Amino acid sequence: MIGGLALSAWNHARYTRDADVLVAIMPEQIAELVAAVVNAGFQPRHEPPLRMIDGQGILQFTFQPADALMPFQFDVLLATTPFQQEALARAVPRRLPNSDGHVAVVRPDDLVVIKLLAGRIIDRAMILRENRSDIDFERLQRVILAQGLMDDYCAIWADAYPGEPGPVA
Amino acid sequence: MRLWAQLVDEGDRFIYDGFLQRLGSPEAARRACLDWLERRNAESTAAKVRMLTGRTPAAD
Repeated sequence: MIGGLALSAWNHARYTRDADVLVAIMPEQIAELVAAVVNAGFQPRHEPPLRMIDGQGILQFTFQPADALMPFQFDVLLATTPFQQEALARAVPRRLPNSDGHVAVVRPDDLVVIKLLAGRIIDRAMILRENRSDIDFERLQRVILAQGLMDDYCAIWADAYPGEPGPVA
Repeated sequence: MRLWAQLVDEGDRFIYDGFLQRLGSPEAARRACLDWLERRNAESTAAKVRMLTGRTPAAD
């Protein structure tokens, strides 16, 4: 799980309308995945279901519960880059608020990188601040440097840990 | 998760009521809600692609 629901699994609940997951599957498994999601009652948003946008594969579904006013959205993003695949391999089971079961959720340091890549202002410093003991800072910094995100990282560090010395490149 | 679904539905009903107040008819309000969802989806899809690639999507 990634996106806004993943944040709520890491101590930062906020409103989100979509459920987003990142999956690593072979191209020949996509039809099987789509069939399983459709069998569970979801409708593909597009035909064919797989869209490629700027090299990123995405499958989008909607789900209309009988008692809900509008359909819900469920997006399946296909992991292709080494960073995405590593983030998946490092995902850990977490319990979402108000839920009994556990789901595999991308780790907070990978969520920070994802937020920095997206250029999203919201959430970034909060993820750092609220998950300090769960973050592998050495690895995070390596990834940040590799992705060329050091300036942004220093900025959110200052927001997350005001008054503390910044990360050293 | 049920609580999350309730939260989303409550949010949708809030948006719907706003349209209903402005447009006057349930049918027009529902259409406006669906348009709003479409626009929102276009924006959020672009953001999701950007968060995984670090690039602004060139095509949608």
